[in-house]
Amino acid sequence: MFSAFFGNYLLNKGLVQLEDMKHVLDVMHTKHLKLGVLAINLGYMTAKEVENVHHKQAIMDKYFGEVAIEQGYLTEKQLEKLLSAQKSERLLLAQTLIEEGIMSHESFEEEIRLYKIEYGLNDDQFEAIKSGDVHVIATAFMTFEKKVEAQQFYIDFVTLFVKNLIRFVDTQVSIDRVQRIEELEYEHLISQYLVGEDTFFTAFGGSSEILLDLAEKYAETSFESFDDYAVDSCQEFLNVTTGLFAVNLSDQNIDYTLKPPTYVENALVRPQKTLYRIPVKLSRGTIYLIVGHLD
Amino acid sequence: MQLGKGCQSGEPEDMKILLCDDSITVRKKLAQSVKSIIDCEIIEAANGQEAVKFYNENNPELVFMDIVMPFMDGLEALENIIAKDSSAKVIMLSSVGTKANLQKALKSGAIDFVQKPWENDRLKIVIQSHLKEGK
Repeated sequence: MFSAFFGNYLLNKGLVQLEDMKHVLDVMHTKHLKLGVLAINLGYMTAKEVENVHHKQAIMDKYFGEVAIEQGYLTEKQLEKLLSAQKSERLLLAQTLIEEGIMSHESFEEEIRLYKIEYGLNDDQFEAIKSGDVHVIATAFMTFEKKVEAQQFYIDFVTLFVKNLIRFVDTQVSIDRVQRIEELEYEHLISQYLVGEDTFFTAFGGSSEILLDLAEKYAETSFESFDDYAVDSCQEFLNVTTGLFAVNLSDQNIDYTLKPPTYVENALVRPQKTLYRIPVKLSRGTIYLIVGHLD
Repeated sequence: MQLGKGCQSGEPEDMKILLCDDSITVRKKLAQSVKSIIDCEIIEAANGQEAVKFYNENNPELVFMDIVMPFMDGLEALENIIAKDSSAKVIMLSSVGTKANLQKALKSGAIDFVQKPWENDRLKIVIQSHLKEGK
């Protein structure tokens, strides 16, 4: 998830080209962080000690950690921490960008600092992006200019929507800041109403290409084009999400009834009431999630 | 691909299971899941009206019924089926497993409720336990 968020930021800033980012994402999953480099970064070992371990490894069939413990350079606890840090997506992304000659270590760290400032992320929110805590991420990106009464309601819905995307469609999901909609046209728009004490409206829109990809992944089949079957798959994806959301609300004794999802081609959204949209970036492109209350 | 009305698919077997959902995506995925659990003939209905009609025509051993559907929703279809056959085994399979829907469904004669998206293990337990009881 960290690669999706920070990778999109680097792309948007023009610091990394799309083809380079695709290459980095492909190769980073085949790489492991080097324990020696991590040990130096964390201050557990000196460069000379790491070199000594490498030298001994060249003449004996032993793991880095085994030799470092035998030599008294590392404790078992430190090794455990190193092995867990080895899985860090952030460090893997950094190592790959640096090894591929796309960014320097200094520029990577500087961009991390600027990224946190640009999105107003505190340490917990930044940690959430690293650990994939969708609710904290949604809270960080769903900040409104003026106070919005249903803010928590929208955050909970966006959280569920993103979790379902990750579960059924694409693990590389990231969201951008929420925006108030003025007037927008979508090539395809899937929408649904939840009716209770008020009426909650939600929809998602996008191009044929990106929605076809979503439909295929959700239905676990392939379609020749964005046909009725593909539309049905997108509708069902939304229906499952709104249904689960209604169940969560029902557990809090708030009752909403779902209306069947609908589909409009070349939809012009001209809101009479305030609607918000959240850009949701997937591997193949961006869809726009819309939320709002109609009364 | 056209979204046709309900249709029958698969090899004819003794056991019949009726799947009712307005989403063809759900019907196809569910048919696949059910077939992986039990050999049976799958009958598909795309709304509540079709479900009632196909139930009366085929007398299936088990029915999986969605709730939110056009023309006739799943709860109304359930009532219609139970009115004609009080021993009908109808399992609601819906994304809207709210307390209100659960209460309505059980009061109207549904024998179980499966929350969408379903897990195949849960489906297996439901199918096996209700078919064991006999009609």
